[in-house]
Amino acid sequence: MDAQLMQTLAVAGILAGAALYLGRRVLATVGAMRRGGRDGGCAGGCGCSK
Amino acid sequence: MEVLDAGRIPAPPAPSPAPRGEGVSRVALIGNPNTGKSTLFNALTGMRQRVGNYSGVTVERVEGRYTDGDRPVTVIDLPGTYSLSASSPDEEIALGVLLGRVEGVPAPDAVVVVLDAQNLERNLFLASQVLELGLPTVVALNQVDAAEAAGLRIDAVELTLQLGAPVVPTVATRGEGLDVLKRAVRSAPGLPRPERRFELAAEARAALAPVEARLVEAGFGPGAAAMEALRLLAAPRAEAHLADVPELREALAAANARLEEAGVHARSLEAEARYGWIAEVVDASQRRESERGRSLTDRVDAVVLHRFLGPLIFLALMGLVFQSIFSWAEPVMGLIEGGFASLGAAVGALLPEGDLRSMVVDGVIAGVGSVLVFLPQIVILFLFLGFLEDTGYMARAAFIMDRFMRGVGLHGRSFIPLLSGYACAVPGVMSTRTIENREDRLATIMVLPLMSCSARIPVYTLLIGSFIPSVAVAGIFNLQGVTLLAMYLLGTVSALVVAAVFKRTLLRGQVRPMIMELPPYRLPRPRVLLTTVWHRASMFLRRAGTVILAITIVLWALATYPKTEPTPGLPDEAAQEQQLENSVLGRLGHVIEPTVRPLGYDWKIGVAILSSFAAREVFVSSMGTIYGVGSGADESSVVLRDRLLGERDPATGMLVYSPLVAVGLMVFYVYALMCASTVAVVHRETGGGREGLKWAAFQFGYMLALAYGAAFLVYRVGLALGLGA
Repeated sequence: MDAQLMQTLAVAGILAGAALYLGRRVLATVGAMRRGGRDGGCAGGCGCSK
Repeated sequence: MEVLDAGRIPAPPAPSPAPRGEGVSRVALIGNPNTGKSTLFNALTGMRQRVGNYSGVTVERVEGRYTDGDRPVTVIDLPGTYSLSASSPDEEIALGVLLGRVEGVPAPDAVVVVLDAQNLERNLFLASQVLELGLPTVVALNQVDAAEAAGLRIDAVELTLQLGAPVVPTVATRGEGLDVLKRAVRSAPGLPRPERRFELAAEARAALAPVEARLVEAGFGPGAAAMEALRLLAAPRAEAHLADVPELREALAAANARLEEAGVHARSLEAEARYGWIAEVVDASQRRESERGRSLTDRVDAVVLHRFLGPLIFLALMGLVFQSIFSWAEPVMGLIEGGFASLGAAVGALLPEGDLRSMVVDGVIAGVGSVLVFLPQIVILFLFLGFLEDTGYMARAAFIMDRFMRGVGLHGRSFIPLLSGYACAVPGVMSTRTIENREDRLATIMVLPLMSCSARIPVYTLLIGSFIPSVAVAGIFNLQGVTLLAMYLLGTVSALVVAAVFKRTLLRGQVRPMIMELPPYRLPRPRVLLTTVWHRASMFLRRAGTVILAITIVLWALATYPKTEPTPGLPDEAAQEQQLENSVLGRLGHVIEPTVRPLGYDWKIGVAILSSFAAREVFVSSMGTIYGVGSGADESSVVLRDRLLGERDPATGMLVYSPLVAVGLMVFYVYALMCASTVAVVHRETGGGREGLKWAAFQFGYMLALAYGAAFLVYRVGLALGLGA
């Protein structure tokens, strides 16, 4: 496979992974806010252990 | 770590501790604040739960485990409380757990009451309430070494007889007495259950009997019912765990009327009965061997708590902390910067030219690297704060600050949550649960994010290190350290002023006095100190490796695509700049530029601010990525500070950054609430649902308005004074 194409595919993969991760984090935070449950607001805040 | 919602304590069936002889699998630790309870918890479980030499460190329920033989035992560390009066959310949690009335938390099989041997009389109030619950109970008489050093000798055997529960002397900091404590816990279910050890007057017993009957009918054990009935006389409240007890309110009203008729003061009945008994217990089991003169703690406090000297010493200590953040961190920071520069060069040489190389070098290494260079500052700040906390000085700081807090209408208990806010607003907001009054609690939550958290350090130190000269100001202090201190003071003073406004408008309420315990000074324990520092540093690293990394990658893509053909003949640097201007990020930046122009910012700063609404440190990584992508491919320096210093407006050729712009930006970051986690936790802690949304939105809005207004004022006044260059 052409080196440029491989680079493009790698970039697309990493980008999709980062976007998915951020999307999941946003959903987790919004979900926790809606539930008002035990881990609400603790979706990775620098003061919580999760 | 689990966090319980105090407002959601339903009423499942009554407590059902393990029957005798079946062994213990769940133990609850309870005690007054600052008895060494969390230290004992850590010593038993080998966990690293945060401990501090001041009251109110444990505000959540925390669980850990130890093994007794081959049997695992779960230890529940309950929030420190002076009584089971359930007047604040954390006390309600403690009582609910002991009564087995918290959803999803089975009742403990045994309870360990932790007493501070130096303050037996005060600690026995809570102990007497817990003993009456009739659960298998062991008493850990902690800090016996300190009590002996103070000339107090406590007869543990006599105390066992008086309390009707085994008493085990412990020194949790050295792990002494733990084996005996574990054995006592193991055999506690086989011992006679503790019960009330004092008699109430006949008329009080008769008046309370119908209340106790209602509670027993609702499933409470006889001991727990008697304790609850007496407690409710002093503090009748609509508590969640009593919601399913029918006709309780009526029975209490009748008991009150009957007591009044008999000439008994209902509200003070419990305190008088318990303290009367406690005096007898202390008299029988404690001996003061010698009256020591003024202790070292007293002598130090005479200076540190002095009306005028105290605040000055506090300010000087804080100044020293912020000064050292610059002086000590600089060499290590230079090393890390150099390390990332070499890494960027090495990876750049390794990968062929193309998008992947640009993503790794200009995006990830430039972005995440520019945040990671601030690790030394984070470590130094927490090393100092941990040291001050562990010696017991922070409790004095709370005492000194109480005067100012009362001045603005805040409760003294607000100080510890506000202090936690220097580390991170999330645990700070959660620790407001120790504040009983709703208005005080809301006011504290509303101003808490104004305290400069550790996520602001990279922003402050990047801008100060780049644009504020390192000139001496007074002795060991230089302008950089003083500027950092000024930012922290600006946040703190603003929090107090805003709280004063709220307490006089939205959240009116009386100012309540605070009773506060000042612990003796101790030498900090290096292990505890290093654990705290490591905990904070690892959280910083984890954030850099997750959220910040992901945002950096997305931002790099936005700054790189769509690709455009450069104008022929443009030098490399200008071609890169043109590409950046035409990217999605560049176009977005130009759309929002008019809103940030009045503050003296260009579109790049605007985009970095926008991206940092997720988390403040992202500002630095965004700047790293934007300048990484926007610089020539042969740019040798990935050091963000150098790039900011040389940045010029392509239209005017003028330097984009000046000390005035830097100060305005820092002021913006002092005030703006740029942290998704804080918004989420404020939403939950202010009631959740629509109510929580209202408070969270209000907080976000007022802080943004304050940030914009203050940054505008700084920039415009600065320009008018000729400080723009």
